[in-house]
Amino acid sequence: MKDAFDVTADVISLINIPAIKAMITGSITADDRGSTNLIDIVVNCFGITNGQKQKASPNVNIYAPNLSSGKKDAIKLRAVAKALILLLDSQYKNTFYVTVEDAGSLIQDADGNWFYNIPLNYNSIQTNFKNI
Amino acid sequence: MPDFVVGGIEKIEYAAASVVGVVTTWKPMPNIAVGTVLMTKNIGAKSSIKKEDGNTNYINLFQPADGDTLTIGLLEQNPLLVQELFSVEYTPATTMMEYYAEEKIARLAIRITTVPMKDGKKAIITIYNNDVQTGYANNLTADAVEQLAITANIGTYRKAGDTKDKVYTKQFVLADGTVINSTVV
Repeated sequence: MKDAFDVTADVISLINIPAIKAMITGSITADDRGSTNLIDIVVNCFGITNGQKQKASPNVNIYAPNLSSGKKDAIKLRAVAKALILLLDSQYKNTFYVTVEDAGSLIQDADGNWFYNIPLNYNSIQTNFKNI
Repeated sequence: MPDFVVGGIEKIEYAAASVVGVVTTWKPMPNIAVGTVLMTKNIGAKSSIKKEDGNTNYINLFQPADGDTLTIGLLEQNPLLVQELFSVEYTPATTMMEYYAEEKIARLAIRITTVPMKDGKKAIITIYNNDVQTGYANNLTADAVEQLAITANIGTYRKAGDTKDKVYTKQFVLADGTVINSTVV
């Protein structure tokens, strides 16, 4: 049975590769952002069902500080988002599979900077499901 | 007076059918789909004839129903079980199953063990003689897996020394399988 922490770890395993790390100045972390002034990727998951097919809705958020002009760094956010979506959509692994639920949306954070949110559908089929 | 409830499924097992109510080796049915297991007890139709001016029935006629049925949905397609359910030629070296045109009626015994929902007691339902037909359910989408939809027509068995046919057994046991002696209060 997968829990929400497993979901986050599974999603990070899909994107924690040199090509993505080379695109960001910060880090790829679970739940909490590693910095406040770098380009970071944060994966979170607030829960997962316990059925024969477990379902979860994790999120991948790309944070980028605004440009010196005060505008959002749309070019960087777009580049990282496009690279991540390729790695996250229709990914079938041994114990789980992931699809991109929504191609994403730009959201302004409380501090005025912007992040790009990509919601996912996560599924895992339990082998020994008991609650029948 | 002890009371018992029947619900949930701990496991379902199968074996070759027995018309004498004896099965020694059971094999597990893998990954049962939630909400698919249902025993249907068909009830016969009664019709009555009354006298022309009477209120009481003069004669009751009873038309027996079709036999009872059991349905089960399975989410895994284990080749060993598929060979029991379908007429197939299985090649383990390539994990290939070739399905013959003929429809197979599998003759299986089925044993359902429920979960101990109340007072640590569960039920074991054993149906010794089933004619089983299998189809498929569920579309092939990223959101569902194909299901083996089993329909068992429950037949009868007669134990050695018995003079009447029986259909199935239902025994209540403790959660660990210990037999309950209901003569002891």
